[in-house]
Amino acid sequence: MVFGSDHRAGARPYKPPVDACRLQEKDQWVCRRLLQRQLHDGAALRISALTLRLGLFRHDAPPEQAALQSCLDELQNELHAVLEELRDVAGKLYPPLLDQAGLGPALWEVADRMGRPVVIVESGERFGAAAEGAAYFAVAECLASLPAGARAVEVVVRRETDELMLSIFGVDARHVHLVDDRARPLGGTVDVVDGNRASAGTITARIPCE
Amino acid sequence: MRVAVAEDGALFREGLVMLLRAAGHHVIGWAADGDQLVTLLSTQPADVAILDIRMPPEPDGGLITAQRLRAAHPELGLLFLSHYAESHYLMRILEIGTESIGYRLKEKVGSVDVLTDTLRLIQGGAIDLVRHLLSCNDQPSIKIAE
Repeated sequence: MVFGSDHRAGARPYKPPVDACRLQEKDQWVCRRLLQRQLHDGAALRISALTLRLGLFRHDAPPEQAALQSCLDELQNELHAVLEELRDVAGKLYPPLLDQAGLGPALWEVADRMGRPVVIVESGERFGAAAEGAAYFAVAECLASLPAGARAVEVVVRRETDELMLSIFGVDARHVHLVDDRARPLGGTVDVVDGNRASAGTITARIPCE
Repeated sequence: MRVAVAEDGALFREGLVMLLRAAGHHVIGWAADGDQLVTLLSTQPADVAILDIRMPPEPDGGLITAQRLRAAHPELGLLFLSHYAESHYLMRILEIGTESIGYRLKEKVGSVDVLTDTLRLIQGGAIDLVRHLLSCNDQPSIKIAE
């Protein structure tokens, strides 16, 4: 007996149609955004409300019960830490600012947090959860791969009919896979131009959008 | 101090109102969205309005509402609360005004002393913002709108 093989006549590996794969990829971005919203509107809001209730107990605790006051302070600090962790998870799922304000503000924010110099050219137009999510994480991963002291990267976001055009100037062309991994599952295409030095390449992606 | 609250999360709103009352403030009323807050403040004066940034009218009703309130009641202090500290919102808040204005994470107002200090600063005309947003990176980013 040979394990892992199928001897039935005519059996072949199943490959879902390309359109189904793209639809599934699009859905997973919508799902990520939904989970992020659930975290914000559910757990995070409940925990924030709990910190207020604890603050109220802390206020009402008798001054002579120092141990109780200290315990309530510790509980509040623990909840602050939990909220920080939830924010971190939400940001990895689908950044809330990307959801609310779009690619320009979200990319500016992530570059600022990483301390990466970046110039962002965009019009404020929205492109839908999938295209925006793919473009955001592609750029964020390119920025994260920049060496310390790298020159400013220029990111241009614009629409061409039903595609989001993402151009990243001043990156290492070898990092094209970071963009390709995000764009291709949605049916996008990626071009790359090598620069005259390591961090002078240009990566351009066309991602189907809403 | 006379305080109005606008927050669409009922649990958080109720907790905030209780904490404000425990701190000795007079809560003139509360609302679940920006439009209700504007209506409330058109008939009842307040010293400070506390607004959730992300509430109806979506997506950032707190900011839109604050613009209307600043125009109608220039003396009204504004305290914005959010789950996230974002430079993007800081810039928008500073566009609304640079006096009697504050921006805090929601869980950071969870003590009577902190809440009262924050409200006093704002009522006194000061600006009280999330501190880590004010620290500058060595290589500041540049944003250009087309």
